[in-house]
Parts: sequence; C-alpha cells; structure tokens
Amino acid sequence: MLGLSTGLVFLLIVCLLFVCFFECINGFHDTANAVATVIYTNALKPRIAVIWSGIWNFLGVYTGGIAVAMGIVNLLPTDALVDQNMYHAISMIIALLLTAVLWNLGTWYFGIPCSSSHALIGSIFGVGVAYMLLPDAHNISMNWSKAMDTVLA
Amino acid sequence: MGLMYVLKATMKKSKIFKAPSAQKAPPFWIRAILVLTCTSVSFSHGSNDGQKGVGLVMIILIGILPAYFALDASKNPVKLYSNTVNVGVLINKMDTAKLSNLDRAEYRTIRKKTDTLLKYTGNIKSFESVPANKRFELRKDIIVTGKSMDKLFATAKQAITLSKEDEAKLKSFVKENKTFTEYAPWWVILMISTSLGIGTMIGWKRIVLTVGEKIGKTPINYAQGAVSQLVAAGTISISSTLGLPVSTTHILSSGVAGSMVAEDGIKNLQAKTIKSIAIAWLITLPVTFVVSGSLFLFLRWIIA
Repeated sequence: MLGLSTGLVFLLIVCLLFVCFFECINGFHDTANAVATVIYTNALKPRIAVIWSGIWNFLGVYTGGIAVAMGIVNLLPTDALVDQNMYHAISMIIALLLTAVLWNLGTWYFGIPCSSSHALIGSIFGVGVAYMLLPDAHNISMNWSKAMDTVLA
Repeated sequence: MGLMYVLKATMKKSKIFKAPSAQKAPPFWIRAILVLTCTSVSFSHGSNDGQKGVGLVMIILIGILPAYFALDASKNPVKLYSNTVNVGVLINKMDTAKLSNLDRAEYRTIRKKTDTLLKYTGNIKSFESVPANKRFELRKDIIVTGKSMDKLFATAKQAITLSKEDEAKLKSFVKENKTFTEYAPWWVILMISTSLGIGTMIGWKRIVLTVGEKIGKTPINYAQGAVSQLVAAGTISISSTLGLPVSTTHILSSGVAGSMVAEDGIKNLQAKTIKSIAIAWLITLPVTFVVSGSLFLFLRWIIA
C-alpha cells in the first residue's frame, strides 16, 4: 500500500490516530474554557452548550485558513523539514507527539486548564534543538524569530 | 479586565453582577450575549488550535509519505515554472558587489536552487509525472529558496539595490511558490475538525469546574463570563490572522481571573488554584522541551 511496508503503514495510521487523539484532548481542555462561562451562568444547559461549541469549533477549523498550521510546521529547523530519511522523520514525529499527548492528558486529569499549544510548541522546540545537537547536523538554522514571537504571544 | 472596570462603572448594581441563581436561566439579553461570546470563542479556538493539529498531520504525512505529500499535487506546475522564471530574472537584477561573504553564500544558494527548479519544472504538465524522489527535491528547493531569500532581505536589504517594485514582485513570487509546499488537503482539515468537535463534547467537566468555581472565590457572574469571553475571542482571532499559535487556555483563564480581580480586588482569587495553574503553565514549555528532545535523541539512537 502506498509503496510502504506493512509496518510503516501501521505506524502511519498510529501517528494519525495520535494526532486525532491530541486534538480530542485539546477539544476537551479548551472547550471547557469556552463553555464554562455559559454553563455556570445557566445560559445554556451543559449538553447543549458542548454540542454547540463542538459545532463551532468544527466550523472554525474548516474556514480558518492554514496560516497557523504552517506556523507550526515552520517551527522545526529547515534541516529537519528537508530531511529525506524516513526513520529520522519517524523518530521526530513520535517524540513530539508522545510528549505533547502525555502532558495534555496529565494536566486534563488533574483539571488544570493548561495549554495544549505550549505543550506542542515545547515538544517541537525540544526536537528542533535536539536535532541541532546531532553530529551530522550542518547548516544549523533554528527558527528563533518565530520561536520568540510565540513565547511573547 | 479593563473592560470589566468600564462595565462596572457604567452599570452599577445591575443584576448582571449577581451570581447566577441555581437552575434559573438569566434574562434573555444576557443569555444571548453569553451564547454569542461562547460561540465566538469556540469558533476562534477552532481556527487557531485546530490548525495546530493540521500542521502536525502535515509534518507526519510529509515525513512518512514524501512522495505523495511533498507538493500540493492539485496545483499546476506550469505556474511554479513561470513564477520561478520571474524569480530568476529578478535575482539577476540584484547587485552582488557589496554583499558580505555570508550574504553572497545565500545569494548563490538562491541562484542554484532557482536553476534546479527551472530545470525540473520546465517541461512537466502535472506533478504526477514527476518521479517520487524528485518531488521531494522540488519541495526542498522551494523551501530553501524561501528561507535564503528571507535571510538575504533581513541582512542585506540595502546592498542588493533592488527597486521597491522589484522587491515587492520578488517577494510575491517567492511567496506564491511557497504555497506549493505549504498546504493541507481537505480531508486532513476534516479529520482534525471532527476530532476537535468530538473532543469538545466529551470530558469537559474537569476543566469547567476549575474555570467556573475555583479561580475566583465566588462563582463567575454574567458580566464576568461575557467580558472574559469577548476578550478571549478577540485576542485569538487576531492571532489566527497573524499566523501565531497562541494558547486559548491562557487567554481565557487569565480573562476570568482578571474579571474576578476587577469585581472585588485581588483577594477575590483562590490562591491555591491560581498557584497550581501558574506552576503548570511555567513548567509546560521546559518539561515538554526536555522530554521530547531526549525522546528524539533516544529514538534516533535506536532506530536510525
């Protein structure tokens, strides 16, 4: 399938599921923020409020453009983006996904309204800097300007 | 928070500052405002946070299946060619005599990559006819050209002596070329928006409790709810347009805390909750940074 071995297809699917899972957690983390106020003020019944919010989240992603999506991709150093070795890419993906998902799940469990964005951005920087530490990394170009923008925001 | 002061000054003793009574819906207009602000926070959240998932999926797809996702296959390569021809013409106009060695190296990179792009895109009608490994090369050339161009403009804007018009043209051609590598297929967006929507509908209770009851000593009232929502929706929307990934959580929780302080002063906050939230916020970046970095190095060590 798709010119990949079965193992890799499996890995691809697992990775995609991980992202969906990450988004789900993000959904319950952050929507809670959006609906807490309406629920606490009795403006809407909880069930209606979360479904309503879910629908608007959906529409937001669908019509929002991809500026932020590319902002995330460009946080990685250029070298990592143009690395053609598939195993390098896989180690990078697993490392950042696993970290972000675990952190998110943990803070949700303790009911702390913590930022999934920071979890994700922290993980991406971690991988980015680790990438530069590799012995075969040349022409080092971490995206520090974008990084600073994000930290300040 | 400032907005809360204004509201308070203009509507003293209004019923919007009363804590909501149990099980009773608020008056219609307050209710309408609250629902509207909740809608806009949800919408702006989707357009910012949802995009992060889309970005992640693209990193995965391009990493594992570069042959299929390196370039936006739905776009016309002829456009890439004609754009690159224009880039070539414009960089020929640059004056390289005054460039520093470093900038000259960037300039050479741009030249070289532009030439390769021209060579490979000159006679193709669709990206399907390009062999898989070449597609990744094209992607690389486009990205590297874009980054080198940014650097050149950042450090040697004066030395290259391009006219204002030419500079603007060059930037727009390079930017348009970037759209061949910076894209997301519709099904990726659909997949992410569905996950986010589903996630929203389950498991929200834990956090709702914290935001609604534990930040302030009194449960939030109508005005506090509406004000913090409005501020959050506005801030997030602006960041989305600028392409900045920001944290909905930070913005909204701070908004709620701010409106609590405006209401009754700083003593109106529950120190314990604020402390645990603040600690979590502070350590999120460093912890995830270190964990993902070491995990990456570990994985590289065992599998690559």
